[in-house]
Amino acid sequence: MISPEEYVERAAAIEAQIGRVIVGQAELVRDVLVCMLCEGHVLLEGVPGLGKTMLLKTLSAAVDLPFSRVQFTPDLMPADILGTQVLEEDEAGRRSFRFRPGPIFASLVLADEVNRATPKTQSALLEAMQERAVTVAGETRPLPRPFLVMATQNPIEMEGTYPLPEAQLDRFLLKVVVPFPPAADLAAVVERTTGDARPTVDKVADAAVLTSMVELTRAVPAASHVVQHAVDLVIATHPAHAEAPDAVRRYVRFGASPRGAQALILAAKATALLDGRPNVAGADVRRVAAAALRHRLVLGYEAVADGVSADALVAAVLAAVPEPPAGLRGAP
Amino acid sequence: MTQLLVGVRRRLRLAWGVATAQWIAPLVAALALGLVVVGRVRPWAWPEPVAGGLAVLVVVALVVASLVVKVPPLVAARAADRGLETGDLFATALELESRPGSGGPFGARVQARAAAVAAGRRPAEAVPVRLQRRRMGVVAGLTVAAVALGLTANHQDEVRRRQQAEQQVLDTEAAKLQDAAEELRTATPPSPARDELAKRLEDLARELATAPDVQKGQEALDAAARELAGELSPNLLAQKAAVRGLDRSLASSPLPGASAGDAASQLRTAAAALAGLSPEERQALAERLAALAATQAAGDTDAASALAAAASALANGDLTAAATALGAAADAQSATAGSVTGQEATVGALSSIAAARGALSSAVAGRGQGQGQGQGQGQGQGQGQGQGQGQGQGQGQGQGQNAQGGGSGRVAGTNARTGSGVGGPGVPGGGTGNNPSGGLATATVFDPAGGTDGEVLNTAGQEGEGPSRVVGKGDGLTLQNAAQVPLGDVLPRYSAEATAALDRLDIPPTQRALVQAYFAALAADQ
Repeated sequence: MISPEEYVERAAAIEAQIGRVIVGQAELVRDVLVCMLCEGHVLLEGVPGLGKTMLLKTLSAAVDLPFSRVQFTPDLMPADILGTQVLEEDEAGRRSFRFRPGPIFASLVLADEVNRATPKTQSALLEAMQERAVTVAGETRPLPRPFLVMATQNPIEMEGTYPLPEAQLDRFLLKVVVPFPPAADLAAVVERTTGDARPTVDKVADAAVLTSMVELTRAVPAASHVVQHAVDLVIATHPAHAEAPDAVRRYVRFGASPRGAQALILAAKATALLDGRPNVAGADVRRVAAAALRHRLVLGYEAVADGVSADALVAAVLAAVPEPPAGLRGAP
Repeated sequence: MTQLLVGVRRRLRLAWGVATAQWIAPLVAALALGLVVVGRVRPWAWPEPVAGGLAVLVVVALVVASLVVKVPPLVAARAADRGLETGDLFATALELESRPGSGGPFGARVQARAAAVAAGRRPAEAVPVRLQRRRMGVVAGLTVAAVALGLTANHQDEVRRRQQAEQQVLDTEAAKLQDAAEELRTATPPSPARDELAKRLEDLARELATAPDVQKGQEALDAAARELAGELSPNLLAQKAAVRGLDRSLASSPLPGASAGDAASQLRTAAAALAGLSPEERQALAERLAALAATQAAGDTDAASALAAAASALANGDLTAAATALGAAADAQSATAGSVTGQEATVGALSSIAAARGALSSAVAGRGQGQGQGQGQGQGQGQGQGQGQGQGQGQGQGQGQNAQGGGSGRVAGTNARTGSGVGGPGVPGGGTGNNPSGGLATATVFDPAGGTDGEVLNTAGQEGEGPSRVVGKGDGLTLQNAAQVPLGDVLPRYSAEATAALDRLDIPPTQRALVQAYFAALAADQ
């Protein structure tokens, strides 16, 4: 297992490599990196042209890991992702079935525009995400470790798309919203992409290092009250619960699952380590709360009608459940 | 880190005390102000002391609570984390410390980092004591208002002082009643009636001591006096005067054959000695018994009848009947004497109650001193004027020591002629106060029924139909005529008439008791 110092160095190196290609978007890059260090899948959502695919491609280029990209379309079949049995004939003329792995058999899988595939195909991918194994023709085949699915989806052009079911969205550790870059960053993007110089990305980590980093992430200690705070946040997303704010009661049909609390703590651990701290703070939990919870809230029709977003509801939860005080009047 | 957390725990106690004080102080200050305001509009004595006591109590309670409030180490660690913004480092370190081996590769790093962060940091940095200026301003304003209102004089202060004085009077009078009850208990010979009376007085004393105000105390005294007065015989004073008078008469001039002893024993001795008396002695004894019977007629009719029967039998020479009658007289006198003794205790209790009632009345009226009791003796003179028959009336008033006297004068003109006269104003008479230490046994008093004609007052009549030189004749009473009689002779009758008058008139029980006590005192001195 690598040391925390090396962990920070490696992470900084990866971020630096990404920074060669991606202008700005520091938080976006940090969230994606957090998912990688937690071996959690990430869902990027943003309008076309914001560099979602470029970010993930750059990330995969910065680490020396098997990478595959799948462009999801309505006619994509599960076998196109998982692989299939093909009939082969050897030199002796004997025929046999041989499994031909699909693109899922890579450490880094880029599922581009995942919401354009049919639910059947989505389900095949999402099952692999959860089980980290694929069963084809009765034979279960483990996926390589680390295994990380980086999916993108476009919130507009909903025509001909198949929104991911809530149960499948729950498989993603974080859902990161890709913001439109500020003007300065946009100018830099234009300059960088319209010249003849092509930025190159070096590989600064391999599978062993990444696996070690994932293990180290999980070893970060979290105080009991910090874990309790994550639990309280998740509980407050449930409209039937007493601690739920009014907005949640009104707009949320179902709150976050227990995976939400796991995601909060895990992502907070990675965040703490990336900040050079050996323990999780309540602030780390709150920092990743939006990305960890926004795709886990099932909103009601009233929220759609009123234009209330999941992010606004998570903000309401954060406001309603402040970081727990020390527990004594007069204490800070 | 441990040293820092120890300091943080101490600091947390202070912060807790200050925060709690700031939270509760406005409520206490508002409550205190409300109590002071109540004390300004209501004559209650408790609001202002309670307001001050409440403030002191809250301060003491806060100090004590701050000293004993429980501050677990984890709370101190979390407070330090938040105050120093260490990202839950101390709390995590403390938890890892309590669970050795649970920190994995980070355990030692967390401890080391916590120690490094704690180095050089002061508890005051971790737990700043924050004063909420607005809230404290409100508290200061309320406190100043309460103190100012409390120190500013208002009319309720006077009411409270008066109430306090009244309460002191109540306590004093209750103590006096308690003393009177104690005297009754220790009086000899012991008597269940006295004990019962003492218990009633003690109950009354307690009721008086716990009375909310003088009026309630007066009501309690009135009720008790009414109850006790109802138990007295209307003829008590006459009985008492008869019994005492007979005792004194026989003590000063014993009956034949009986040189000493009380009246009953002398009567019995005399009955036994009748046979040895000479006819002259019998005659003298008969006359003496007849005279004694006359003195007993008002107060002890049985004794009077028996004495009269004895006198008659003796005069007729019937010694047996005389002896029997003398025995009956002795029995009647004994019974009356016992009854008088029992009721004297009640009268004494009534006197104590009356004194307490008087003291309470004085307290209510704001007087500092009580008024004495006494009877004056006055003489009035009137002058008629007119032609024919003239009439005049005059009144005089005498003033004695610690007493108020009263006198009356009357002028009646007699003339066959018709006319009218107007009496002149009475001359103030010389009053004699009721001085218990004086020698009332030999005192003489004015008896209107025994008066004889006084000096003749001649006045010039107005000219009328008849001769106008006829003057009116007045029977103004003087100290020197026959209307002045020994007090002992008229006291039973005065007492009986006074008691009868008290029964007829609507007089408060305490005043009735006062009159009864007065005559009882006179009778005791006789």
